[in-house]
Amino acid sequence: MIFGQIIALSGLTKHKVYTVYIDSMKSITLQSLLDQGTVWAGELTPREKGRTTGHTQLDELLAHGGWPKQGVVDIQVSAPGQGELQLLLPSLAQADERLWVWLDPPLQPCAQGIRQAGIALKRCLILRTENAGDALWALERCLQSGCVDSALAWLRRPPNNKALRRLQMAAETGGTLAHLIHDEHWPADAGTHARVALWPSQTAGHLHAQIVRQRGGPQQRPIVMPLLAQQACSPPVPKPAQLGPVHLDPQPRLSLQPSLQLAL
Amino acid sequence: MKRQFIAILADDVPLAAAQIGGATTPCCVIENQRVLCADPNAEKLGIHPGMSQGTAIALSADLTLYPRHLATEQGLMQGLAQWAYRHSSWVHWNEDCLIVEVAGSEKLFGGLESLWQRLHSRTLRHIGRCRVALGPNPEAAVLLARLEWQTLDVNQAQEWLTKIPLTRLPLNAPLIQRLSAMGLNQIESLLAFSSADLARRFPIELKDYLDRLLGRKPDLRPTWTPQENFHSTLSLQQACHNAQALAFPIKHLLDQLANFLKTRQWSCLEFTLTFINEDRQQQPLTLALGQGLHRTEAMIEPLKLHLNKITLSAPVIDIQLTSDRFRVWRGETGDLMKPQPKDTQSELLIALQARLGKHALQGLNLAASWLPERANIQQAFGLDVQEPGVTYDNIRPTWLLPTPLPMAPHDLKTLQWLRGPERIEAHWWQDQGGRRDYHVASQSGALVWVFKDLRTQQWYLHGLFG
Repeated sequence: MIFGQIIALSGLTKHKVYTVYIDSMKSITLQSLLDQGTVWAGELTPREKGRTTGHTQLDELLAHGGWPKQGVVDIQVSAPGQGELQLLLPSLAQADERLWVWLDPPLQPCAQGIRQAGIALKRCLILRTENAGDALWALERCLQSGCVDSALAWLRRPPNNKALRRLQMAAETGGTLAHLIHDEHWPADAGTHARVALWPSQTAGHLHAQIVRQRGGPQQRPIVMPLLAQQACSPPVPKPAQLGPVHLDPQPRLSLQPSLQLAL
Repeated sequence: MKRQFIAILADDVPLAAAQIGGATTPCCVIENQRVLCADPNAEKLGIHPGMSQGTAIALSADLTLYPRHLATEQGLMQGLAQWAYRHSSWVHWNEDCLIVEVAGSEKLFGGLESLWQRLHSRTLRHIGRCRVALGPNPEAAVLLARLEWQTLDVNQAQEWLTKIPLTRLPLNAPLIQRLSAMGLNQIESLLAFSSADLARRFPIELKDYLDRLLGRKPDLRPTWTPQENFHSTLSLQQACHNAQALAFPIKHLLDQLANFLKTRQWSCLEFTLTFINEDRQQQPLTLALGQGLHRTEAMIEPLKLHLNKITLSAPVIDIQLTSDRFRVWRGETGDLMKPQPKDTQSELLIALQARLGKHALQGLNLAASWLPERANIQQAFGLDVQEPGVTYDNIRPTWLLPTPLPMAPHDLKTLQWLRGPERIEAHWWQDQGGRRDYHVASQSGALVWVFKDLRTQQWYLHGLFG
């Protein structure tokens, strides 16, 4: 359908403007194509600002300067509890008031730990499903509803391309970000926005993270992220013994005037 | 102010009831072997009310005959009365007729004509053909509607009353015959008698009727009052075997419920559907609607999900919808500038609950306890959440094992100790109390939360910093 050529107006203008003519009638800007994330742009600066991950190192490597605003991202960990929540919690703490869905978490989330990360507990909705069909249905329903900010899903088996496409569509409808957390057995070419692989580092409290694949950006080399180090490994700061504020009762007011006054 | 009444004779109620139950066209409704009501297609074939059943079948082979379902008809009329109650405080309904007092609300609804149009078009849309007329009192309005003498001027209607032929009065046939034999043709001629004369010469019901028609005596009909609870029944024309196919007829009941809720500005918290089979056995289905719904479209989705899950014990012929749990509807104003979400949070939760079951939706909560397994609670979603502003000085894991996992001594050797101990001592006054020293440790890169039970000297794994 595209038979015109791409005209690049560059030079004096600060922003490059590309125009693609389709059917010689409708003109759509390249910018709109780039915003959809369907065209790979080599040297252009990131277009749409994503959601910050809360880790500056990771933000720099991701194409949108963070997680995409909406879409499906998959995270590969070898076993639950390797640091996947530590990776995601900072970005969720900055999210809006919509729900945060956990679909079939492998263990019980610890309320105190979640609260410590700065997330309101009333936003957390944990769903337990009985079979793979229900799980996919529930995830799609949550993503498209528009009242879920992000969803975290542990699916029983890798969804096929059709199911993934549906999840993508649902996430775009509802403006939701979904993280699919899985092990190494998933196919490498899952059609998600990005894949991040995590594995523990030998340094305690550090984590290796690699962006294996992402839309609109290149594969990145593994980085080491100090996920838990600062908080967990530093010894607790000894606090001076706290004394509760002393409440002094206000001096009872004594009325010195005689209660009875004689009428003169 | 002079009172004015609009009467609506809904002739097609039996037909509308049959259509809700799944009737196909051409059809007619049969009562006592006679055609009670025929749809337009059947009328084209020459079938008219009053005809015998045999004649109707002889006229057309395609014709379907349906028995009359009074319960569904009453539900329809009641729904209409409920809607009309928005326009007037004086509403009366019976099996085929609705009477509304309009003088009081004429100004509010932009004149008599627009009010007439509203009532007429609503009846046309929800029930079918009808006859409408205005009269100075309820009895007169009904009679003028039956004669199809229509006017918007109540004085004109009052004048017309005396011109009504006596043969058209709803009185018994011998009496009418007697009147015409006496040479009395119009109501005017009856007015020549004094009322004592009238009472002496004719049965008392004539004088009674005349008094009510001319407004000499107050009309003591019961007026419709809004119900506290919702109850409606629908009869199917054919027994239904498939639960999913019931969604369509149930939509009519939900429409009635939505209308009921709308007039009261309520939202429904729970409703019960009862499926009744031919042996009058009942199979109930209760749907909880979370924080409450008030629109039909919103109620349809959880209903369909529930219908997918149940199996009918026997073919259903009657469906009953009842509800007595309501809440004042709280409107939500969306942000004009933001994209509107597809549905509200409560609609999502209801849909999830309908498909996944009651216990599938869980939320997190904190309790006032020192022991981690007691402090971190998983509970049903939507309950009150205690969120203390206090942050713990000591780090807590993100995953907690439901029961602490005992660790073998050789596991302990692989741990790299990072932080601790943190002494937690609680419930020492009870047997199940604990006296523990918690540590943060690293196990081949991953951080874990382990403790030593100081009573038994056993080490346990209790959480993961995942």
